[in-house]
Amino acid sequence: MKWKLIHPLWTHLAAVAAVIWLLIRLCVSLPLPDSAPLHFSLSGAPDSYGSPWLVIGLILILSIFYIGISIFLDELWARQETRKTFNWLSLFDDIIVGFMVGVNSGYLSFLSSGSTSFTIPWQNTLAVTGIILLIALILEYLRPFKIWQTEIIREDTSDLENELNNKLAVSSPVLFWQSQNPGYVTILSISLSVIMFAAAASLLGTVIWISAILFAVGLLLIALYGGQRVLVTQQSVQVRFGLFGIHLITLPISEIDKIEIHSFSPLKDFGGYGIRFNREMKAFFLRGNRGVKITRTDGKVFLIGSDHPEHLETAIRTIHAFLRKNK
Amino acid sequence: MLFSIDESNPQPLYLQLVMQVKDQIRNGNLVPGDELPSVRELADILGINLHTIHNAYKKLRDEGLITLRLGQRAKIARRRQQPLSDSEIDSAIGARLHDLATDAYLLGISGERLREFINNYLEHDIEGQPK
Repeated sequence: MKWKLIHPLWTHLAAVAAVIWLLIRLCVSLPLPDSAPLHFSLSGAPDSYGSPWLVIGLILILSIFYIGISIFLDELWARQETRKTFNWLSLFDDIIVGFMVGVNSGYLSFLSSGSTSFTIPWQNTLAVTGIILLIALILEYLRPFKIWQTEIIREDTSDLENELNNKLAVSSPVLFWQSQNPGYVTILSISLSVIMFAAAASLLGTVIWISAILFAVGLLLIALYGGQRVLVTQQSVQVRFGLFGIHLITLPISEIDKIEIHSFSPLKDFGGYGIRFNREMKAFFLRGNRGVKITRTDGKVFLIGSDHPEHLETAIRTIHAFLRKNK
Repeated sequence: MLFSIDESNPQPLYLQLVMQVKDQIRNGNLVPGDELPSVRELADILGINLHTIHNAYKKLRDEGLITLRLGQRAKIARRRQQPLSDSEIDSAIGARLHDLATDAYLLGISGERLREFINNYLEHDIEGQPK
């Protein structure tokens, strides 16, 4: 997995510039009063008071948070691209940050004016959001296209093939093993199951059946811990998953017809990661965009994601060829 | 990664596994952070005792080649960055070099020939060796 961003960060400059403009606007408005209205009714009358830094701080933190999410989504988009396509997701942070900066700018004006009611300055807010959006559209249009897959280097597997043939020739039991266990699976399986168990415990004395469901969901989430493993032996190709090594699929070597390395787009071809289906095949992968496509003799197709698909393909192909030769 | 057991090999089973992991680290098939199969998975597939796998993993851990943490699979450890001192090299491979020199002598291989053979081997066979 390559962590270098291929979607350029400068496409977020408009949102960042809006945050900087808000900071400048804030410096000009200093000092802020110790106490000011924080919340307003529909008519604009204040109904809650406190330090205005709460509002300013919240807006700044949320702006940075949304820019961060947008960087993540843009990178996902860029890694799926096979040609330049306009990334509408890249406007996500610009719209939200533009709106928040516009409203907050109006709030700073409200603080310095000493007025008793506040209404959202729609005209200014839409103008700020519009300018940011326009700049973001231009930046996204100018974004260069890079193919993520060009970084792939086909690995030499001749040593593995020779070693496997030697082992098979003397009838030694062999195991070729690969795993995909990305950090997000570990984080999700532990943190979400802890949340589920805590929720189940808190409901134990009140609604027992909901508590039981939450506990069961927590157990299921813990079972995800450990990621995906592929085991290739003289008998079969197995895909196992999670803490208990649940067998997702077992493909006997004798029932394999075709083995090939396959590149795919996780989001466009399968809509995400994990156990996936499309019209052509059933797929198992937790990261990356490459794997080994196996066609069974009955025509069914399976895709097994791999960080080193050349090795996996060589292992299956060598065992398959050896068994056919010695039938 | 590839694991295999050769029952005709006089080397103990756990040492065969240890050497397979070492070989794959050397040739670059295993890199720091790569996971190894669980003890149970390996024992099931290869048809050997759990203790044999435990012993192999324990030896690899003691040599600093893998990390073993509770609740996690064994992982290939980071390579040591600092070069070994002469005494550390001696305690790590000195005894095996002594055996090699003795065997070579008993087979009638001269010191010169043995040096030449080792040099050739290092030049052509150990591509994964750090420069």
